[in-house]
Amino acid sequence: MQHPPYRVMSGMSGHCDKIVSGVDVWMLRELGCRSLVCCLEELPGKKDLIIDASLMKFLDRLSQAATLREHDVEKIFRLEQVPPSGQCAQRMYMVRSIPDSVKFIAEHLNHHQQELKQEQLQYQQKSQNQQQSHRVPISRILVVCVPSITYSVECQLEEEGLAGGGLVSLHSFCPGFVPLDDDLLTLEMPNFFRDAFVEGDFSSCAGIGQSLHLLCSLFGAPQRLLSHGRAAHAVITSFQRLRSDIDESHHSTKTKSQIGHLFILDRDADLVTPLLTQLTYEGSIDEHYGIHAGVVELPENLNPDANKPSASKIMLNSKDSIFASVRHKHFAGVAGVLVRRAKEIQTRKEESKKMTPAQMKEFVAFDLKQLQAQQNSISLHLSICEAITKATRRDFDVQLTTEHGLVTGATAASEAKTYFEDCCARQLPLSSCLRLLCLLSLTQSNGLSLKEYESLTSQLVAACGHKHILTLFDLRQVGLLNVSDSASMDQPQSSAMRGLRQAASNLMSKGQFAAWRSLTKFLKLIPDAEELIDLHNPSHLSYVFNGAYTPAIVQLVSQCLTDGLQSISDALKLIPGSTTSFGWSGDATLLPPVVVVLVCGGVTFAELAAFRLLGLRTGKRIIVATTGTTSGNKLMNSIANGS
Amino acid sequence: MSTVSWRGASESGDYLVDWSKRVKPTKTVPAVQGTVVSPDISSTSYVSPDVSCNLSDSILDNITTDNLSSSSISEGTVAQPRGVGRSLGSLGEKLQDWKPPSVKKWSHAGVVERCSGCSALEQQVAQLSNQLQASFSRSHVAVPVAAAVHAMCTGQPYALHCYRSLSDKRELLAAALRASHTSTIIAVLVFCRNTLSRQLFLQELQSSAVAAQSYLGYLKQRRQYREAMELLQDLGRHEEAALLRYRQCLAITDHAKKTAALRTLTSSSLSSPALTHYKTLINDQIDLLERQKSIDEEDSKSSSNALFKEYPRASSVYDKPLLTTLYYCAMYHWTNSGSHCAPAAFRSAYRLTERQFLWAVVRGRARVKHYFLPEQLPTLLTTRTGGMLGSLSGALSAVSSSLAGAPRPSLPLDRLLDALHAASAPHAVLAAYLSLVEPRELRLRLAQHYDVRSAVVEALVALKDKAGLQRYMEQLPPGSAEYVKADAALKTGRWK
Repeated sequence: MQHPPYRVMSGMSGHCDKIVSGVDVWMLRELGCRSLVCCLEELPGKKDLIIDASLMKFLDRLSQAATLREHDVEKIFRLEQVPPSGQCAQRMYMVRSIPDSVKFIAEHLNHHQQELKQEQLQYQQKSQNQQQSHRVPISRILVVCVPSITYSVECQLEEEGLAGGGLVSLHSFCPGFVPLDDDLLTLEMPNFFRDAFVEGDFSSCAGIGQSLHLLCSLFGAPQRLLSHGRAAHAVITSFQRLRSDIDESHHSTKTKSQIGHLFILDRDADLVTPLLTQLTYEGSIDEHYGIHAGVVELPENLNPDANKPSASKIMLNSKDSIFASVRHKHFAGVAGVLVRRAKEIQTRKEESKKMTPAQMKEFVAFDLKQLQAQQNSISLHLSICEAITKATRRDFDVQLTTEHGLVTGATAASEAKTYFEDCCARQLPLSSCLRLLCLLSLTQSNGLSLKEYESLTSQLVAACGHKHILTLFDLRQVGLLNVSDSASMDQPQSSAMRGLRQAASNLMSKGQFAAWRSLTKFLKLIPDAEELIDLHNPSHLSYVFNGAYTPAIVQLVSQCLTDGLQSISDALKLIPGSTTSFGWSGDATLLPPVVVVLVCGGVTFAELAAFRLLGLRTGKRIIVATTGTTSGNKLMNSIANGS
Repeated sequence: MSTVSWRGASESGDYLVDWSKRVKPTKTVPAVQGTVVSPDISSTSYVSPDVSCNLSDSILDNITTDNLSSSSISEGTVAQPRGVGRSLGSLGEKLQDWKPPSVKKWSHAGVVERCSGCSALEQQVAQLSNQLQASFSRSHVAVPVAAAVHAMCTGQPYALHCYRSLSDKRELLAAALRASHTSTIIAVLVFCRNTLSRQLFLQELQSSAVAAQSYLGYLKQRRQYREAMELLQDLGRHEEAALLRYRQCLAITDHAKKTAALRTLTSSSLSSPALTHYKTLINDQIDLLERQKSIDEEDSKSSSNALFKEYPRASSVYDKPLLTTLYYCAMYHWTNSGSHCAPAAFRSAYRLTERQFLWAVVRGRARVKHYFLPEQLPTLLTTRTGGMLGSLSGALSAVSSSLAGAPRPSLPLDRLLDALHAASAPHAVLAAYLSLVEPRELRLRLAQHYDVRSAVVEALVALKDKAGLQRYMEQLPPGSAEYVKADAALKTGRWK
């Protein structure tokens, strides 16, 4: 089926007034919204909707409460242990596919039935004429598993005695990717990194594959593909399974391909990038306040609306032209740009004073409102800049020097260790300490020695609590914390010390510790010290980290696009997981100029900025799809909170 | 007896009541009743309104009482091949059990003359039973492994019980692993666990790291921790097994139970020499918990300590990190030397480094507006009695150590200044630290940043920046101490 060029009505989403290369990502939102409606209609009639907290932001990007109400949703609750107070006879639960959600539902149901019994007893005892608003017995519960039903959920449901019987039924709902911006698609799976790379549970990959399939059913199958990594492998297998099923059923109908390249990579292809402090404007906002599903929650004092002194939520995307012009800039240059823009607007406003009445009329009708909005935006972003500068710690320059020195090799390990010990002794936040420790271990050619590991970690648990013994183990599992096991090679623990990532890696353990260093050489991730990197008018991808480091995933894509698949084959051998590729033989110039990069496990804003620069440099449109935007703090907290 | 359409649910229901009325009074056949109607059958298939059960009832009745054309049954089976398949399977079993007594019963009950073609009927019964058995076994023929795994991955119905041989199971697992579909891998593994000996099951897990990890993840998700721990032990992953146990100890809220559980953990699971690091840390944790408990009990009772009124406790210190506890004790128990809550006791008990100890103490004391001067810091480390500040021996040792060229307290001055400034230390204290900052340019910058006037003046003098000092003097109120100092320096100092 061929899709005509599609234009989102500006009133509907307000984004993307131009169609770039035929791929309009906002169609995905439309599509996701429609399948949500289909899902709601699975349970016709009035119902209460109970939503898993981690799905709320995602659903909010997909649709509005009004849409839910149009489809007979009475009340919306957050899934908690405490039962919802809804009065509907029908309930729809929208949950992640984990057994715990089913447990909650079973508890809610039991609670409801007990209450019902008690109420009936009271009703019988009391005088009949008292009209009480008594509860309605629940007639049907639909449990919607996002993105797919898993075996463990089915088992749990059966064990709770709710399987079959008609009261509770399972339904799966895969909403697909949701656009946050013209070049950013998300699935908002905040637990994916932990589930996949710590626990080894890749069950969400089936849903990612399905979402990818949905994307390709709109924009056509990619003509060239490269996938590498454990999660990527599970995704591509699931994707190909779906495609082969479709091919069997519809031979003739194929969408014209609009996607030239598709890259699927895992977060653990580059674990160093999230450990480094982000220095772009958007990255800095994420480091300080946290951006979740494209929205940042600013503290009270930054509220642009002075009348309502409360925390405010700001949607950050390129709809705001001021933000679009500074989001990917190096933080140091942002305030300057904003001030310049403010002056420009001021002069335009002053010009208006000399206008003739006719010109004035036009100005007021068209430009004034826009200028006013831009002025508001400038003042908001200037105050954010100011607040971030204020909140930056005194030793920020030491921190940056240490981080970048570790990556380039300019800082000695002993110096970094002293700084780490100092951070622990001052009891800085857990995530900051962990990021530094992990960075130290990854950048050393042999990882930390067992002795260093023991001394540094005991200082960390003293500062952050002994329970983080578990966090440290999980970090080793992911491969974020490298401990050299040469001393204990023969001991039984050595296999655990190496962690899951290395167990899955293609190399033997011996060479594995040097893997990151070798990778930096193969991919030229560290620019020469002599090379001058312009931070404010960037041409080099490493500008996002002050010219100290190029994010490996971006560099991998960049090299592959310019020099072909062969040029990165050595580098891929150093990254855990297996490679799948096709379509690399033909002429590259005939391909559509759209590149989709899917990063399983989250992508940082620093990488997004580098991808944007890569797009400008190569003249291609790069759309990044991901399980969610991430940062070092988010990764560390997801690992620590699970522990 | 009237002919009853076996399709009509309500009619058959009426009929059932009728039937039970007839059977119950006939006390002549109690034994038959007892053996035929087993409890679950009587409850489910006769009373339950479930459609499939009704269907089975009705068919049975028709078989035994009335001449039923075989075409109607085949019609029924053909019409709903998928849904009825399963119920027919169980029906086949029921038929096997029921046929002889029920036929006997009905023939005894005096319907013989109506059932004239008895042998024909028996033939029909046999025929039908064969048909049912065939359909039963059809659904139990193993489909190719790849097809089964594909069905599992795509959420279609599947059945695994027909894969009975070990090689079948291995193939199934291999196919699931190839599909890299976690949910399918888990389903196959759970099937293997239920149908294989533990030893064989372990072999499967040992041969594939992905399988083992998926299964362990499943056990954890389902909160089957005991099995997960046993499995980890069997797989030789003792470190993980011990940590899983530790995780469960942490979930205990009762203090006595928690420490007891942790003690058992250190003595049993962590006895291996490879795990001594964990053992030390967890022993520290137990000790810390005991200490915190007693501190918390004392402090929640005591009203004598005036500090609690001036600086109310934010929360209980129980289960807080070690350095937080030290900070707390530096705040409230600075003078309790010798007791278990004295800061000095922490240093020896938990082998704290100088840096850890000094930072916690300096920050804790600054919180209650007690600021140390730079020369006092070394005394904190040397005094064994815990905070007898300015004691002669401490001061002397500090002097002697500084004379001997011993390194200064290992805290970085810029961060120390920041911490003290944040704790609103007086300018005199900040000036004392600022005077130690090198190079002088940095000293000037920091002094300006914290607005410590005397330090700015001193830094400018040290830098021999006459013009700068004169400019700075203009900002100072004439007559203030800094003004006088700057003025004196301008008059007496040697300038470039």
